[in-house]
Amino acid sequence: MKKREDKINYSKLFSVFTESKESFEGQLPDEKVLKVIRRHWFTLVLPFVYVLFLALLPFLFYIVLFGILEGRWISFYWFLVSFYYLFLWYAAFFKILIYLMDMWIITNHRIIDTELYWLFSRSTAELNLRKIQDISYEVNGLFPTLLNFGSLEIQTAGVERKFQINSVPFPSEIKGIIMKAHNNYKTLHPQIPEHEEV
Amino acid sequence: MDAGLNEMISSIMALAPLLIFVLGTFIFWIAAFFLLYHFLRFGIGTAPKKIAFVFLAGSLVLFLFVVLLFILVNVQNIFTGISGEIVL
Repeated sequence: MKKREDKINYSKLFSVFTESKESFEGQLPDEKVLKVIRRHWFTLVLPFVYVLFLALLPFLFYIVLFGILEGRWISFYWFLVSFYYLFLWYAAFFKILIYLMDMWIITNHRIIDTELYWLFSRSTAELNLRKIQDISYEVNGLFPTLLNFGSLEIQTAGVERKFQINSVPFPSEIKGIIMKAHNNYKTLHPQIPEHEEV
Repeated sequence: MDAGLNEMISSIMALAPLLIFVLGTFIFWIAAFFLLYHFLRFGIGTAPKKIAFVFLAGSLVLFLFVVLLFILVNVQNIFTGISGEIVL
């Protein structure tokens, strides 16, 4: 008798939180993601501090209004505050969304620069690895030096002359990854000489 | 005239939480859906999915507080009555 394997593998139900592949829309069949680069987490510190300050405001207002509000006005005030916190929670995660969606995707074919400006408003630019002419990076300031993040710039032979991303963690390592990908691509795809490219 | 004004304010106070609750709930959950949509569709890797989960869980908890406080406000309105005095 054939044993039926009808047990549900419950661990696979949550695999999207642990094993989600780095795939993206428009990925080519033989395209592999080498690295996904986002801005350094330090760029979220100031917005986080601002959100924290806004979270404390209702309590400060309550201290000012204490003795003035009575009875059901107190309940009404905290009801409004609960909505305030709900929308503050939303605003904080909106900021995180903008941070997460501003990224470079380095694949074995190209570099894709995607950015989300607002809900349903995003831009995408891509650069073929062959068109890279020069890569440089800058690290300016106390915190960028201590935490090792800076801006990375790629000079290209394409229509868009420069690709730039700011606040990138470990820019020298990223530069190495891009150069290696560029050299590998040229080795694997030597068909069209550079001076004959359109 | 004072009694009439008091009653009018009481009526507004009785309706205001309900209007705020309905409107706020509607706007928030539509906006939350759009945010989750962006996290799940455009997010690459596991981090956006985890963050989407945290956002949804936190939203549910905070919304529970909103509902509880809305019930508290309404219960107080019922006990105080429509013609209850407004104390400022």
